[in-house]
Amino acid sequence: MASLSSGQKNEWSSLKNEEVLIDTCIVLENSGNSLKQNPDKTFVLKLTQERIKELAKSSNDEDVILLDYFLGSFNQRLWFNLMVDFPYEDEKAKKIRIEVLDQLIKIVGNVFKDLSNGLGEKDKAKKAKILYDGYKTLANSYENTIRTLESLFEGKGI
Amino acid sequence: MSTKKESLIELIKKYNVVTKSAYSLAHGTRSYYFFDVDKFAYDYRPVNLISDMYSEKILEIRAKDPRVDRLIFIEKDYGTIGALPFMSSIILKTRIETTVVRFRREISIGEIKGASLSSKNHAIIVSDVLTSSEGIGKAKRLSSKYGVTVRYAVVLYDRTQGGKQILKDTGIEICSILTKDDLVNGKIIKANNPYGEDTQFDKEEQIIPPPQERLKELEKILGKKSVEVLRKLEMKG
Repeated sequence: MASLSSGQKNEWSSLKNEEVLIDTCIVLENSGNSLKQNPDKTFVLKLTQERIKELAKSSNDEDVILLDYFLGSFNQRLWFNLMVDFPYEDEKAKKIRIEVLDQLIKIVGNVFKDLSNGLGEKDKAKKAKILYDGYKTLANSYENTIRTLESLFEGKGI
Repeated sequence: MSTKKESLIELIKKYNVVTKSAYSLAHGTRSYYFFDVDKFAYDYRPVNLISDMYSEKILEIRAKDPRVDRLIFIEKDYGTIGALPFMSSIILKTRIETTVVRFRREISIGEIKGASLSSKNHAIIVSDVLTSSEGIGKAKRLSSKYGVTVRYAVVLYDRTQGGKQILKDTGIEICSILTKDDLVNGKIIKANNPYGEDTQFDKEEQIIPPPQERLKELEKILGKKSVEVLRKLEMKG
């Protein structure tokens, strides 16, 4: 079988990146909608991250690689600190905690839709701004949720 | 009949607990040997012997200070599992209630697990390896948030790189089961060159300078403002 020339390799790599970018946008758009509608189904968030990790492996698009890196770290912190492991809470606190977490997941859903639009944006400056704002919103929302829960459970220790 | 310490040295050899290469230790300097407690934490013989030796030290301290009513174990944010695999066995042997402190937790809910902590408690921190004392220092600060008094820590291995003195300055007395001298006498490492004579790693282990000196060095690298931030973080624990 004839081997590919350097130009053909570049063209193939570019097509592959484009394909991965489109797939990433679709995944973000769909999971964003799902998380907004059903914030209790947080497994969607985990699966999205796994899917994007796979997509990023087969691409050298810097924005997809950064997205994978950010989501990996974000999910890890989210699950370790907020999603599980809240012992000794009464019914009232449990209800509020779920409301606070649902609110966060809905924001994540919105941001996913923004990130999907941002990744598909052709204007580089606009693209950078949308992605930066999305990551900033995720980070700020996470910090705000921690602060809200800290005040909710203040003095309760473990 | 061999002593417990001799038996432990034999087990360290058998399970290749000390490995020799170039390592970056948790506190951030380079070392040329690594004491990996995890290597022998999964067999009943070393677990039994080590938890015995930990428990003896703990009970010796409690004989001296009967107020001791809590053990504090550390769930690290990186590196080895540490002393956690020995926890249940030590609880059984000492019958002292135990708490685990968790450094990776970013929210105070769930940052400690197990027995509750209050200002009435006097605790001993149980850790695996002492190098710079960073882990024990962090555990003390986290426990202090709950008002706990910590005057003692028990470690399996003291690398004798200055951690003991640093902790002494903060009011914690260290009781170690093994020190570097024991590994030297047991012919596991050499006194000045743990790796061996004919290698590129022909260096002596560094003594970790006390926090004030380390901060001065950092000030030269990062500037005064950064060091102020670090100090504040340290105070926050």
